[in-house]
Amino acid sequence: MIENSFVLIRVIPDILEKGRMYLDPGSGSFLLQILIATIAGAGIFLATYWRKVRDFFARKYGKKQDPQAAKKSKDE
Amino acid sequence: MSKVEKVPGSFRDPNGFLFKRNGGLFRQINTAYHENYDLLMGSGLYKDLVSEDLLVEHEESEELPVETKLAFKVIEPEKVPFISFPYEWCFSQYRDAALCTLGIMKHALDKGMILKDASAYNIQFLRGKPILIDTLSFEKYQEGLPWVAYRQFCQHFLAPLTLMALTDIRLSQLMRVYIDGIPLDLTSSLLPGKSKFNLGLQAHIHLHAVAQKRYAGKDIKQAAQERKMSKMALTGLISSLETTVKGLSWKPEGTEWADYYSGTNYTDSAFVSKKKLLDELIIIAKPKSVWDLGANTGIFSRVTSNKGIPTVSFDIDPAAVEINYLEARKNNEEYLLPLVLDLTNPSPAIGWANEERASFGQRAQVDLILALALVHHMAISNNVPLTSLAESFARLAPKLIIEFVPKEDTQVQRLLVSREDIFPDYHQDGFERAFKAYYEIEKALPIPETKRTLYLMGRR
Repeated sequence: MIENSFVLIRVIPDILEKGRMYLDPGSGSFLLQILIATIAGAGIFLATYWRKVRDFFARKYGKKQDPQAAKKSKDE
Repeated sequence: MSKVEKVPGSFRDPNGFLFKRNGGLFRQINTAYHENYDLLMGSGLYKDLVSEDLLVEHEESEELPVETKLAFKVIEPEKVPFISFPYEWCFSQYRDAALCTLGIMKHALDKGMILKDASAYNIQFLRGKPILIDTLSFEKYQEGLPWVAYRQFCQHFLAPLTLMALTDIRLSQLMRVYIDGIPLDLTSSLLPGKSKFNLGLQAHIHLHAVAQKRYAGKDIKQAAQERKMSKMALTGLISSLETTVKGLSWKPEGTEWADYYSGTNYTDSAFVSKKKLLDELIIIAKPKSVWDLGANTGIFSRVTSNKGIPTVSFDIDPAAVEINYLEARKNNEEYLLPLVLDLTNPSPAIGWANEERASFGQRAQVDLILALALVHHMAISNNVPLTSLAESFARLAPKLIIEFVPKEDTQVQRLLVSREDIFPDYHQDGFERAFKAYYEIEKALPIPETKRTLYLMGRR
């Protein structure tokens, strides 16, 4: 994490200054997408996490509680 | 010395460019792209994309580079028979092109690369499917960085698609005006209020437009230092764009065009006869390629495309082209390309020096023009003199199959209902006289049960 942040702090200004990108990403587009992507990425993270939690309980109690749901979860 | 010509549309990218030499099309890859090219080929990304028909196939070539000092390699990509532009695509073609771009981005991320641009002009239709034609669009992914092509994707794909779906299908034509995609503030102002309740559109169009305005010309280095974007966030962004694009739809039903398709102008047997006569003429003409002008939903274009003859099926009506494309897609028709084109105002040359994107006429490397039930629309609705029509067709292709529709025909009568008949030369003799100045008439076949005639002509 710390390492990643370090890479980013080093890389972003470097790229913005030297203009290695041949497209202009646009200042507003650059900042806004970080916001949207963070939310969307968190969504993906939560969905994955939720599926893991659900699968865990489905495996543990699935047969007793709701065989239908357990089957569906397994299929997914 | 062989003649070398740089392709005008590929000057923007410092990593390489396209050139033509001795009838072949090549791409010079510059040393600046060495590392990324090796990663594309070595990571398995190229192989994956080619096997899924998402990226054009190429071979490394022995051809000499054009700018030797910069050169790393020369490659020869598979040739796309007809280069089309976004303002010529119907809704579903545009949507498929957008999903193709996002699909490629996802594949690239899996292999540690990204798309460094998301230009709609990099997508072409090959064998009926959208495909990326720019092999130099990939670069190594650097963890933490936002997607450099996000703005371009929104302007080139999301904005036109949203406008077509939610405001008016004809707004795809704004792509003709704005070479780098439709500005998002303009898009935002043209969209209906309900689009703000769509999370994806609110974020990628409306908020995006506000952010662009707010940070226009501002130095964001400081702000950028404080933020980072993980790979999961980037995946989330692409997934959000994909969901937003998939959520857009447009159906030709319920439009002013809907009735247009409810009936044909022929009795069933006259229709069958026309198809049969066309088939006969095609067997005689043996064209290598065909442009069907005024093709409607492409019924007659399929007479040629079903014979394996590459056929571009043009029509002015985006609804007809949509129906045509969906049919072609459903049947995996590899030789048919439906496109939107207003023949009375065909695609002009646009972009830098008016050379970046070629005009309709400049792209004419076609063997035969098919002009069925078209003459009366050009000559009577649009006042184009018959000689001018003949001259234009003769400029496009050496062979012509054309249907003459006389004034006695109910369709022409309908066109004359609302206007004065100022066309004294519009009759079969006048038609033949006008066309004989440019063509030899090889066959003239009356269409049974109609007053129409089908001609096969060869350019003089």
